[in-house]
Amino acid sequence: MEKGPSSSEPSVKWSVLFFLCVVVLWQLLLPVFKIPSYLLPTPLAILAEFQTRGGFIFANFLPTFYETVLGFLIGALIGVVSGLGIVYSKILWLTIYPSLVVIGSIPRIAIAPLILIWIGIDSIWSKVTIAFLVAFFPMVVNSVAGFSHIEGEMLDLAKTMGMKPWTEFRKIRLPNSLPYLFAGFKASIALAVIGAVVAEFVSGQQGLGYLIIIGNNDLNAALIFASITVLSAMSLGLFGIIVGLEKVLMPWRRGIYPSDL
Amino acid sequence: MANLIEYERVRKIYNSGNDEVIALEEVSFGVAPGEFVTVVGRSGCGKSTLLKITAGLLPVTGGAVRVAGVPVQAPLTNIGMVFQSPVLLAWRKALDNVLLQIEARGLNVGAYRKRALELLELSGLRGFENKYPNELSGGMQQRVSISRALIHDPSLLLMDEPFGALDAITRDEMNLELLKIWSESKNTVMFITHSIPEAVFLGDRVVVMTPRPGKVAEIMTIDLPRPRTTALRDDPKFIGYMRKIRESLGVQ
Repeated sequence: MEKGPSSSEPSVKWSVLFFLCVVVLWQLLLPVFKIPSYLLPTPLAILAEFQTRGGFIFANFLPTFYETVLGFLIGALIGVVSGLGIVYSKILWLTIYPSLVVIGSIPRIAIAPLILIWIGIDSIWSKVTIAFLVAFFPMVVNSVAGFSHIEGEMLDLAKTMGMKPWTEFRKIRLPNSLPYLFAGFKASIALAVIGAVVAEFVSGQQGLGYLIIIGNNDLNAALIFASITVLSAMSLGLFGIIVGLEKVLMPWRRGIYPSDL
Repeated sequence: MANLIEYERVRKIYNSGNDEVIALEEVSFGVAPGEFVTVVGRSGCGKSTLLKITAGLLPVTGGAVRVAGVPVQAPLTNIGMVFQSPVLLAWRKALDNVLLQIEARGLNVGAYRKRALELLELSGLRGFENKYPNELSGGMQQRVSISRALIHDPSLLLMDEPFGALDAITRDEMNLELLKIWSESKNTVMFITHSIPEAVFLGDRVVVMTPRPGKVAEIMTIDLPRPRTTALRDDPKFIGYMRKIRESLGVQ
Protein backbone atom coordinates (compact mmCIF):
# COMPACT_ATOMS: atom_id res chain seq x y z
CA MET A 1 0.00 0.00 0.00
CA GLU A 2 1.16 3.53 -0.79
CA LYS A 3 1.91 5.66 2.21
CA GLY A 4 2.19 9.42 2.64
CA PRO A 5 5.13 11.62 1.58
CA SER A 6 7.42 10.02 4.14
CA SER A 7 7.04 6.34 4.81
CA SER A 8 6.22 6.78 8.51
CA GLU A 9 2.68 6.41 9.88
CA PRO A 10 0.80 9.56 10.92
CA SER A 11 0.91 9.52 14.72
CA VAL A 12 -1.47 10.79 17.37
CA LYS A 13 1.43 12.02 19.44
CA TRP A 14 2.68 14.45 16.81
CA SER A 15 -0.73 15.81 15.89
CA VAL A 16 -1.58 16.47 19.56
CA LEU A 17 1.74 18.26 19.98
CA PHE A 18 1.04 20.35 16.89
CA PHE A 19 -2.42 21.22 18.17
CA LEU A 20 -1.05 22.30 21.57
CA CYS A 21 1.54 24.51 19.87
CA VAL A 22 -1.20 26.25 17.88
CA VAL A 23 -3.25 26.85 21.06
CA VAL A 24 -0.27 28.28 22.93
CA LEU A 25 0.68 30.57 20.03
CA TRP A 26 -2.95 31.64 19.77
CA GLN A 27 -3.00 32.57 23.48
CA LEU A 28 0.30 34.45 23.30
CA LEU A 29 -0.11 36.26 19.99
CA LEU A 30 -3.64 37.74 20.41
CA PRO A 31 -2.57 40.43 22.94
CA VAL A 32 0.49 41.22 20.82
CA PHE A 33 -1.66 42.02 17.79
CA LYS A 34 -4.38 43.68 19.95
CA ILE A 35 -7.24 41.63 18.44
CA PRO A 36 -10.46 42.44 20.34
CA SER A 37 -12.08 39.51 22.19
CA TYR A 38 -15.45 39.89 20.38
CA LEU A 39 -13.63 38.99 17.18
CA LEU A 40 -11.44 36.22 18.50
CA PRO A 41 -11.31 35.14 22.15
CA THR A 42 -8.17 33.64 23.67
CA PRO A 43 -8.19 29.92 24.58
CA LEU A 44 -8.22 30.93 28.26
CA ALA A 45 -11.31 33.10 27.71
CA ILE A 46 -13.05 30.10 26.08
CA LEU A 47 -12.07 27.99 29.08
CA ALA A 48 -13.52 30.66 31.39
CA GLU A 49 -16.78 30.51 29.40
CA PHE A 50 -16.91 26.75 30.12
CA GLN A 51 -16.37 27.46 33.84
CA THR A 52 -19.10 30.07 34.19
CA ARG A 53 -21.71 28.56 31.83
CA GLY A 54 -20.76 24.88 31.76
CA GLY A 55 -24.19 23.63 32.87
CA PHE A 56 -25.95 25.81 30.32
CA ILE A 57 -23.67 24.59 27.51
CA PHE A 58 -24.13 20.94 28.53
CA ALA A 59 -27.91 21.38 28.66
CA ASN A 60 -27.72 22.57 25.06
CA PHE A 61 -25.29 19.84 24.05
CA LEU A 62 -27.78 17.07 24.81
CA PRO A 63 -30.46 18.01 22.22
CA THR A 64 -27.79 18.41 19.52
CA PHE A 65 -26.35 15.04 20.45
CA TYR A 66 -29.75 13.30 20.30
CA GLU A 67 -30.69 14.96 17.01
CA THR A 68 -27.36 13.96 15.46
CA VAL A 69 -27.38 10.37 16.67
CA LEU A 70 -31.06 9.75 15.85
CA GLY A 71 -30.74 11.43 12.44
CA PHE A 72 -27.67 9.32 11.71
CA LEU A 73 -29.14 6.02 12.92
CA ILE A 74 -32.39 6.48 11.01
CA GLY A 75 -30.43 7.60 7.94
CA ALA A 76 -28.11 4.61 8.17
CA LEU A 77 -30.98 2.14 8.66
CA ILE A 78 -33.18 3.48 5.88
CA GLY A 79 -30.11 3.97 3.68
CA VAL A 80 -29.00 0.35 4.00
CA VAL A 81 -32.53 -1.01 3.58
CA SER A 82 -33.07 1.13 0.47
CA GLY A 83 -29.70 0.01 -0.85
CA LEU A 84 -30.75 -3.62 -0.45
CA GLY A 85 -34.08 -2.94 -2.13
CA ILE A 86 -32.41 -1.21 -5.06
CA VAL A 87 -29.86 -4.01 -5.55
CA TYR A 88 -32.37 -6.86 -5.24
CA SER A 89 -35.35 -5.32 -7.04
CA LYS A 90 -35.06 -4.48 -10.71
CA ILE A 91 -38.10 -2.19 -10.48
CA LEU A 92 -36.59 -0.14 -7.65
CA TRP A 93 -33.27 -0.07 -9.51
CA LEU A 94 -34.97 1.37 -12.58
CA THR A 95 -37.28 3.82 -10.79
CA ILE A 96 -36.07 4.86 -7.34
CA TYR A 97 -32.33 4.87 -7.91
CA PRO A 98 -32.25 7.44 -10.73
CA SER A 99 -34.75 9.68 -8.92
CA LEU A 100 -32.62 9.47 -5.78
CA VAL A 101 -29.74 10.88 -7.75
CA VAL A 102 -31.93 13.78 -8.86
CA ILE A 103 -33.35 14.35 -5.36
CA GLY A 104 -29.83 14.06 -4.01
CA SER A 105 -28.82 17.10 -6.01
CA ILE A 106 -31.31 19.30 -4.10
CA PRO A 107 -29.40 21.07 -1.33
CA ARG A 108 -31.23 19.44 1.60
CA ILE A 109 -30.28 22.25 3.97
CA ALA A 110 -32.39 24.61 1.86
CA ILE A 111 -35.56 22.74 2.77
CA ALA A 112 -34.85 22.86 6.54
CA PRO A 113 -37.33 25.74 7.12
CA LEU A 114 -40.04 23.73 5.35
CA ILE A 115 -39.43 20.69 7.55
CA LEU A 116 -39.71 22.87 10.65
CA ILE A 117 -43.09 24.12 9.47
CA TRP A 118 -44.31 20.65 8.56
CA ILE A 119 -43.21 18.75 11.65
CA GLY A 120 -43.23 21.53 14.22
CA ILE A 121 -40.52 23.89 15.37
CA ASP A 122 -40.74 22.72 19.00
CA SER A 123 -40.46 19.04 18.27
CA ILE A 124 -37.05 17.36 18.33
CA TRP A 125 -38.26 15.24 15.40
CA SER A 126 -38.20 18.17 12.99
CA LYS A 127 -34.47 18.57 13.66
CA VAL A 128 -33.90 14.82 13.60
CA THR A 129 -35.59 14.77 10.20
CA ILE A 130 -33.30 17.47 8.85
CA ALA A 131 -30.22 15.63 10.18
CA PHE A 132 -31.61 12.43 8.66
CA LEU A 133 -32.23 14.02 5.25
CA VAL A 134 -28.65 15.25 5.09
CA ALA A 135 -27.14 11.98 6.39
CA PHE A 136 -29.26 9.62 4.32
CA PHE A 137 -27.91 10.06 0.78
CA PRO A 138 -24.32 8.91 1.13
CA MET A 139 -25.68 5.82 2.90
CA VAL A 140 -27.91 4.80 -0.02
CA VAL A 141 -25.22 5.33 -2.61
CA ASN A 142 -22.63 3.46 -0.56
CA SER A 143 -24.86 0.51 0.26
CA VAL A 144 -25.91 0.11 -3.38
CA ALA A 145 -22.21 0.04 -4.29
CA GLY A 146 -21.35 -2.31 -1.42
CA PHE A 147 -24.03 -4.88 -2.23
CA SER A 148 -23.42 -4.83 -5.98
CA HIS A 149 -19.72 -4.10 -6.64
CA ILE A 150 -18.65 -7.73 -6.72
CA GLU A 151 -16.44 -9.42 -9.30
CA GLY A 152 -18.67 -11.13 -11.86
CA GLU A 153 -16.46 -14.20 -11.61
CA MET A 154 -17.13 -14.43 -7.88
CA LEU A 155 -20.84 -14.62 -8.61
CA ASP A 156 -20.20 -17.18 -11.37
CA LEU A 157 -18.21 -19.20 -8.90
CA ALA A 158 -21.03 -19.01 -6.38
CA LYS A 159 -23.37 -20.45 -9.04
CA THR A 160 -21.07 -23.41 -9.69
CA MET A 161 -21.05 -24.00 -5.94
CA GLY A 162 -24.83 -24.20 -6.02
CA MET A 163 -25.09 -21.27 -3.59
CA LYS A 164 -28.60 -20.22 -2.60
CA PRO A 165 -29.38 -16.47 -2.76
CA TRP A 166 -29.55 -16.16 1.02
CA THR A 167 -26.16 -17.88 1.42
CA GLU A 168 -24.73 -15.70 -1.31
CA PHE A 169 -25.96 -12.64 0.56
CA ARG A 170 -24.56 -13.72 3.92
CA LYS A 171 -21.24 -15.05 2.70
CA ILE A 172 -20.47 -12.68 -0.17
CA ARG A 173 -22.58 -9.54 -0.51
CA LEU A 174 -22.88 -8.58 3.16
CA PRO A 175 -19.19 -8.83 4.07
CA ASN A 176 -18.33 -7.25 0.71
CA SER A 177 -20.50 -4.26 1.61
CA LEU A 178 -18.84 -3.52 4.96
CA PRO A 179 -16.02 -1.26 3.71
CA TYR A 180 -18.55 0.69 1.62
CA LEU A 181 -21.03 0.91 4.50
CA PHE A 182 -18.38 2.21 6.86
CA ALA A 183 -17.24 4.80 4.32
CA GLY A 184 -20.93 5.81 4.20
CA PHE A 185 -21.25 5.86 8.02
CA LYS A 186 -18.25 8.18 8.27
CA ALA A 187 -19.61 10.60 5.70
CA SER A 188 -23.11 10.41 7.21
CA ILE A 189 -22.16 11.09 10.81
CA ALA A 190 -20.30 14.27 9.82
CA LEU A 191 -23.29 15.34 7.73
CA ALA A 192 -25.76 14.55 10.53
CA VAL A 193 -23.90 16.99 12.80
CA ILE A 194 -24.16 19.68 10.12
CA GLY A 195 -27.87 18.93 9.65
CA ALA A 196 -28.60 19.17 13.39
CA VAL A 197 -26.71 22.44 13.79
CA VAL A 198 -28.35 24.07 10.77
CA ALA A 199 -31.77 22.93 12.05
CA GLU A 200 -30.98 24.65 15.34
CA PHE A 201 -29.81 27.81 13.54
CA VAL A 202 -33.16 28.00 11.82
CA SER A 203 -35.42 26.93 14.71
CA GLY A 204 -33.64 28.97 17.41
CA GLN A 205 -34.98 26.98 20.36
CA GLN A 206 -32.16 25.04 21.96
CA GLY A 207 -28.97 23.16 21.14
CA LEU A 208 -25.41 24.11 20.32
CA GLY A 209 -26.51 25.64 17.02
CA TYR A 210 -28.85 27.87 19.02
CA LEU A 211 -25.98 28.84 21.38
CA ILE A 212 -23.91 29.92 18.38
CA ILE A 213 -26.79 32.18 17.29
CA ILE A 214 -27.04 33.64 20.82
CA GLY A 215 -23.28 34.19 20.90
CA ASN A 216 -23.57 35.94 17.58
CA ASN A 217 -26.37 38.25 18.77
CA ASP A 218 -24.50 39.07 22.01
CA LEU A 219 -21.14 39.51 20.27
CA ASN A 220 -19.95 36.77 22.65
CA ALA A 221 -17.27 35.04 20.58
CA ALA A 222 -16.19 32.98 23.59
CA LEU A 223 -19.61 31.29 23.70
CA ILE A 224 -19.46 30.61 19.95
CA PHE A 225 -16.02 29.07 20.27
CA ALA A 226 -17.05 27.05 23.33
CA SER A 227 -20.02 25.65 21.34
CA ILE A 228 -17.81 24.85 18.35
CA THR A 229 -15.36 23.09 20.67
CA VAL A 230 -18.13 20.88 22.08
CA LEU A 231 -19.47 20.21 18.58
CA SER A 232 -16.04 19.18 17.34
CA ALA A 233 -15.47 16.94 20.34
CA MET A 234 -18.86 15.33 19.74
CA SER A 235 -18.13 14.76 16.03
CA LEU A 236 -14.75 13.34 16.84
CA GLY A 237 -16.18 11.00 19.48
CA LEU A 238 -18.91 9.68 17.19
CA PHE A 239 -16.43 9.28 14.34
CA GLY A 240 -14.13 7.42 16.72
CA ILE A 241 -16.88 4.97 17.66
CA ILE A 242 -17.43 4.19 13.97
CA VAL A 243 -13.71 3.73 13.30
CA GLY A 244 -13.47 1.45 16.35
CA LEU A 245 -16.39 -0.68 15.14
CA GLU A 246 -14.81 -0.83 11.70
CA LYS A 247 -11.59 -2.25 13.13
CA VAL A 248 -13.46 -4.88 15.12
CA LEU A 249 -15.72 -5.94 12.24
CA MET A 250 -13.10 -5.90 9.47
CA PRO A 251 -9.88 -7.37 10.85
CA TRP A 252 -8.73 -8.11 7.29
CA ARG A 253 -8.66 -4.44 6.43
CA ARG A 254 -6.62 -2.95 9.26
CA GLY A 255 -4.55 -0.14 7.82
CA ILE A 256 -6.43 -0.09 4.51
CA TYR A 257 -8.48 3.00 3.77
CA PRO A 258 -11.70 3.31 1.76
CA SER A 259 -9.85 5.38 -0.83
CA ASP A 260 -8.22 2.11 -1.89
CA LEU A 261 -11.51 0.73 -3.13
CA MET B 1 -15.62 -45.28 -22.89
CA ALA B 2 -18.16 -42.53 -23.51
CA ASN B 3 -16.92 -38.95 -23.44
CA LEU B 4 -17.48 -36.90 -20.28
CA ILE B 5 -17.93 -33.71 -22.32
CA GLU B 6 -19.40 -33.69 -25.80
CA TYR B 7 -19.46 -30.50 -27.90
CA GLU B 8 -21.80 -30.78 -30.86
CA ARG B 9 -21.71 -27.99 -33.44
CA VAL B 10 -21.63 -25.35 -30.70
CA ARG B 11 -22.32 -21.80 -31.89
CA LYS B 12 -22.26 -18.66 -29.80
CA ILE B 13 -23.20 -15.23 -31.09
CA TYR B 14 -22.94 -12.10 -28.96
CA ASN B 15 -25.26 -9.22 -29.77
CA SER B 16 -23.95 -5.78 -28.97
CA GLY B 17 -26.36 -3.17 -30.31
CA ASN B 18 -26.75 -3.90 -34.01
CA ASP B 19 -23.46 -5.76 -34.21
CA GLU B 20 -23.30 -9.52 -34.10
CA VAL B 21 -20.05 -11.07 -33.01
CA ILE B 22 -19.62 -14.74 -33.74
CA ALA B 23 -17.66 -16.01 -30.73
CA LEU B 24 -17.88 -19.71 -31.57
CA GLU B 25 -18.62 -21.33 -34.92
CA GLU B 26 -19.46 -25.04 -35.20
CA VAL B 27 -17.23 -26.31 -32.41
CA SER B 28 -17.35 -30.10 -32.12
CA PHE B 29 -15.14 -32.39 -30.08
CA GLY B 30 -15.23 -34.63 -27.04
CA VAL B 31 -13.29 -34.92 -23.79
CA ALA B 32 -12.77 -38.37 -22.27
CA PRO B 33 -13.10 -38.98 -18.52
CA GLY B 34 -9.77 -38.41 -16.73
CA GLU B 35 -8.34 -36.58 -19.72
CA PHE B 36 -6.37 -33.32 -19.42
CA VAL B 37 -7.37 -31.18 -22.38
CA THR B 38 -5.80 -27.78 -22.99
CA VAL B 39 -7.35 -25.17 -25.27
CA VAL B 40 -4.93 -22.66 -26.77
CA GLY B 41 -5.54 -19.59 -28.91
CA ARG B 42 -5.20 -15.83 -29.16
CA SER B 43 -7.33 -13.47 -27.11
CA GLY B 44 -10.80 -13.28 -28.64
CA CYS B 45 -10.83 -16.77 -30.15
CA GLY B 46 -13.77 -17.76 -27.95
CA LYS B 47 -11.90 -20.16 -25.69
CA SER B 48 -13.14 -18.56 -22.45
CA THR B 49 -16.65 -18.45 -23.90
CA LEU B 50 -16.39 -22.18 -24.58
CA LEU B 51 -15.45 -22.80 -20.94
CA LYS B 52 -18.29 -20.68 -19.61
CA ILE B 53 -20.72 -22.51 -21.86
CA THR B 54 -19.37 -25.81 -20.54
CA ALA B 55 -20.00 -24.64 -16.96
CA GLY B 56 -23.54 -23.61 -17.88
CA LEU B 57 -22.77 -19.97 -17.12
CA LEU B 58 -23.59 -18.91 -20.70
CA PRO B 59 -26.25 -20.34 -23.03
CA VAL B 60 -25.32 -21.60 -26.48
CA THR B 61 -26.81 -19.90 -29.54
CA GLY B 62 -26.85 -23.17 -31.45
CA GLY B 63 -25.73 -26.77 -31.05
CA ALA B 64 -25.35 -28.50 -27.71
CA VAL B 65 -22.93 -29.27 -24.90
CA ARG B 66 -23.47 -32.49 -22.98
CA VAL B 67 -21.67 -33.29 -19.75
CA ALA B 68 -21.98 -36.91 -18.64
CA GLY B 69 -24.63 -37.32 -21.31
CA VAL B 70 -26.88 -34.54 -20.00
CA PRO B 71 -27.36 -31.32 -22.02
CA VAL B 72 -26.01 -28.32 -20.09
CA GLN B 73 -28.83 -25.85 -19.49
CA ALA B 74 -28.09 -24.36 -16.06
CA PRO B 75 -24.86 -23.75 -14.11
CA LEU B 76 -23.21 -27.07 -13.30
CA THR B 77 -22.67 -27.53 -9.59
CA ASN B 78 -20.58 -30.70 -9.63
CA ILE B 79 -17.51 -29.00 -11.08
CA GLY B 80 -14.50 -27.06 -9.83
CA MET B 81 -13.70 -23.75 -11.44
CA VAL B 82 -10.57 -21.59 -11.50
CA PHE B 83 -10.37 -18.19 -13.20
CA GLN B 84 -7.44 -16.02 -14.23
CA SER B 85 -7.94 -13.89 -11.14
CA PRO B 86 -8.03 -15.90 -7.92
CA VAL B 87 -11.43 -14.41 -6.87
CA LEU B 88 -10.81 -14.99 -3.20
CA LEU B 89 -12.93 -13.35 -0.52
CA ALA B 90 -10.74 -10.70 1.10
CA TRP B 91 -12.31 -11.22 4.53
CA ARG B 92 -11.59 -14.92 4.68
CA LYS B 93 -8.29 -16.52 5.57
CA ALA B 94 -6.78 -18.99 3.07
CA LEU B 95 -8.27 -22.05 4.76
CA ASP B 96 -11.72 -20.46 5.04
CA ASN B 97 -11.61 -19.47 1.38
CA VAL B 98 -11.06 -23.14 0.49
CA LEU B 99 -13.89 -24.17 2.80
CA LEU B 100 -16.30 -21.70 1.17
CA GLN B 101 -16.91 -24.45 -1.40
CA ILE B 102 -18.09 -26.74 1.41
CA GLU B 103 -20.17 -24.11 3.23
CA ALA B 104 -21.86 -23.10 0.00
CA ARG B 105 -22.98 -26.67 -0.51
CA GLY B 106 -24.27 -26.99 3.03
CA LEU B 107 -21.79 -29.82 3.75
CA ASN B 108 -20.17 -30.47 7.12
CA VAL B 109 -17.22 -28.06 7.28
CA GLY B 110 -15.52 -29.97 10.10
CA ALA B 111 -15.37 -33.13 8.00
CA TYR B 112 -13.53 -31.32 5.19
CA ARG B 113 -11.07 -29.30 7.26
CA LYS B 114 -8.41 -32.00 7.12
CA ARG B 115 -8.76 -32.37 3.35
CA ALA B 116 -8.50 -28.57 2.93
CA LEU B 117 -5.27 -28.51 4.92
CA GLU B 118 -3.95 -31.43 2.84
CA LEU B 119 -4.70 -29.60 -0.40
CA LEU B 120 -3.08 -26.40 0.84
CA GLU B 121 -0.02 -28.36 1.90
CA LEU B 122 0.11 -30.22 -1.40
CA SER B 123 0.14 -26.88 -3.19
CA GLY B 124 2.96 -25.56 -1.02
CA LEU B 125 0.94 -23.38 1.33
CA ARG B 126 1.74 -25.10 4.59
CA GLY B 127 1.88 -22.44 7.30
CA PHE B 128 -0.19 -19.97 5.29
CA GLU B 129 -3.66 -21.35 6.15
CA ASN B 130 -4.42 -18.43 8.41
CA LYS B 131 -3.26 -15.62 6.13
CA TYR B 132 -5.67 -13.22 4.50
CA PRO B 133 -5.48 -13.02 0.68
CA ASN B 134 -3.84 -9.59 0.78
CA GLU B 135 -0.99 -11.18 2.73
CA LEU B 136 -0.34 -13.72 -0.06
CA SER B 137 1.46 -13.34 -3.40
CA GLY B 138 -0.43 -13.74 -6.68
CA GLY B 139 0.87 -17.28 -7.12
CA MET B 140 -0.11 -18.24 -3.58
CA GLN B 141 -3.59 -16.78 -4.05
CA GLN B 142 -4.04 -18.88 -7.17
CA ARG B 143 -2.98 -22.00 -5.22
CA VAL B 144 -5.72 -21.26 -2.70
CA SER B 145 -8.16 -20.88 -5.58
CA ILE B 146 -7.13 -24.27 -7.04
CA SER B 147 -7.46 -25.93 -3.63
CA ARG B 148 -10.96 -24.47 -3.37
CA ALA B 149 -11.82 -25.90 -6.79
CA LEU B 150 -10.69 -29.39 -5.75
CA ILE B 151 -11.89 -29.75 -2.15
CA HIS B 152 -15.23 -31.33 -3.05
CA ASP B 153 -13.46 -33.73 -5.42
CA PRO B 154 -15.31 -32.70 -8.59
CA SER B 155 -15.18 -35.02 -11.58
CA LEU B 156 -14.58 -32.03 -13.86
CA LEU B 157 -12.16 -29.15 -13.33
CA LEU B 158 -12.53 -26.07 -15.55
CA MET B 159 -9.60 -23.66 -15.60
CA ASP B 160 -9.68 -20.33 -17.44
CA GLU B 161 -6.11 -19.07 -17.93
CA PRO B 162 -5.38 -19.70 -14.25
CA PHE B 163 -1.71 -18.80 -14.54
CA GLY B 164 -2.10 -16.00 -17.10
CA ALA B 165 -1.36 -13.26 -14.59
CA LEU B 166 1.75 -14.89 -13.12
CA ASP B 167 5.36 -14.33 -14.09
CA ALA B 168 6.93 -16.95 -16.38
CA ILE B 169 9.03 -18.57 -13.64
CA THR B 170 6.15 -18.94 -11.19
CA ARG B 171 4.00 -20.17 -14.04
CA ASP B 172 6.36 -23.05 -14.86
CA GLU B 173 6.39 -24.02 -11.18
CA MET B 174 2.62 -23.89 -10.99
CA ASN B 175 2.37 -26.14 -14.06
CA LEU B 176 4.42 -28.81 -12.29
CA GLU B 177 2.41 -28.46 -9.10
CA LEU B 178 -0.89 -28.65 -10.91
CA LEU B 179 0.19 -31.90 -12.58
CA LYS B 180 1.28 -33.26 -9.21
CA ILE B 181 -2.12 -32.51 -7.68
CA TRP B 182 -3.95 -33.80 -10.76
CA SER B 183 -2.00 -37.09 -10.76
CA GLU B 184 -3.54 -37.70 -7.32
CA SER B 185 -7.11 -36.72 -8.10
CA LYS B 186 -7.31 -37.73 -11.76
CA ASN B 187 -10.32 -35.61 -12.54
CA THR B 188 -11.06 -34.47 -16.05
CA VAL B 189 -9.52 -31.07 -16.78
CA MET B 190 -10.38 -28.42 -19.37
CA PHE B 191 -7.58 -25.89 -19.25
CA ILE B 192 -7.71 -22.64 -21.23
CA THR B 193 -4.45 -20.84 -21.98
CA HIS B 194 -2.79 -18.51 -24.45
CA SER B 195 0.62 -19.98 -23.78
CA ILE B 196 1.71 -22.60 -26.31
CA PRO B 197 4.37 -24.23 -24.08
CA GLU B 198 1.88 -24.41 -21.21
CA ALA B 199 -0.71 -26.09 -23.44
CA VAL B 200 1.80 -28.71 -24.61
CA PHE B 201 3.35 -29.28 -21.19
CA LEU B 202 0.04 -29.93 -19.44
CA GLY B 203 -2.23 -31.52 -21.99
CA ASP B 204 -3.03 -35.03 -23.13
CA ARG B 205 -4.53 -33.25 -26.09
CA VAL B 206 -4.30 -29.65 -27.25
CA VAL B 207 -7.29 -27.99 -28.92
CA VAL B 208 -6.00 -25.17 -31.12
CA MET B 209 -8.53 -22.40 -31.71
CA THR B 210 -8.45 -19.50 -34.17
CA PRO B 211 -10.44 -16.26 -33.85
CA ARG B 212 -13.14 -14.42 -35.82
CA PRO B 213 -15.14 -16.58 -35.86
CA GLY B 214 -13.79 -18.73 -33.02
CA LYS B 215 -13.35 -22.27 -34.26
CA VAL B 216 -11.23 -25.34 -33.75
CA ALA B 217 -8.26 -25.32 -36.13
CA GLU B 218 -6.72 -28.55 -34.99
CA ILE B 219 -6.74 -31.09 -32.17
CA MET B 220 -3.34 -32.51 -31.39
CA THR B 221 -2.56 -35.53 -29.23
CA ILE B 222 0.52 -34.90 -27.11
CA ASP B 223 2.43 -38.15 -26.94
CA LEU B 224 4.82 -37.33 -24.12
CA PRO B 225 5.36 -39.47 -21.02
CA ARG B 226 3.94 -38.63 -17.59
CA PRO B 227 4.93 -37.53 -15.04
CA ARG B 228 6.12 -34.59 -17.07
CA THR B 229 9.31 -32.91 -15.95
CA THR B 230 11.01 -29.60 -16.64
CA ALA B 231 13.62 -31.40 -18.78
CA LEU B 232 10.83 -32.28 -21.20
CA ARG B 233 10.66 -28.64 -22.30
CA ASP B 234 13.94 -29.15 -24.22
CA ASP B 235 12.81 -32.43 -25.80
CA PRO B 236 12.77 -32.28 -29.62
CA LYS B 237 9.23 -33.77 -29.61
CA PHE B 238 8.04 -31.02 -27.25
CA ILE B 239 9.58 -28.37 -29.50
CA GLY B 240 8.05 -30.07 -32.53
CA TYR B 241 4.54 -29.85 -31.00
CA MET B 242 5.07 -26.17 -30.26
CA ARG B 243 6.09 -25.50 -33.87
CA LYS B 244 3.04 -27.33 -35.20
CA ILE B 245 0.73 -25.32 -32.96
CA ARG B 246 2.38 -22.05 -34.01
CA GLU B 247 1.81 -23.04 -37.62
CA SER B 248 -1.81 -23.86 -37.13
CA LEU B 249 -2.30 -20.57 -35.23
CA GLY B 250 -0.72 -18.77 -38.17
CA VAL B 251 2.07 -17.25 -36.08
CA GLN B 252 4.66 -15.74 -38.42
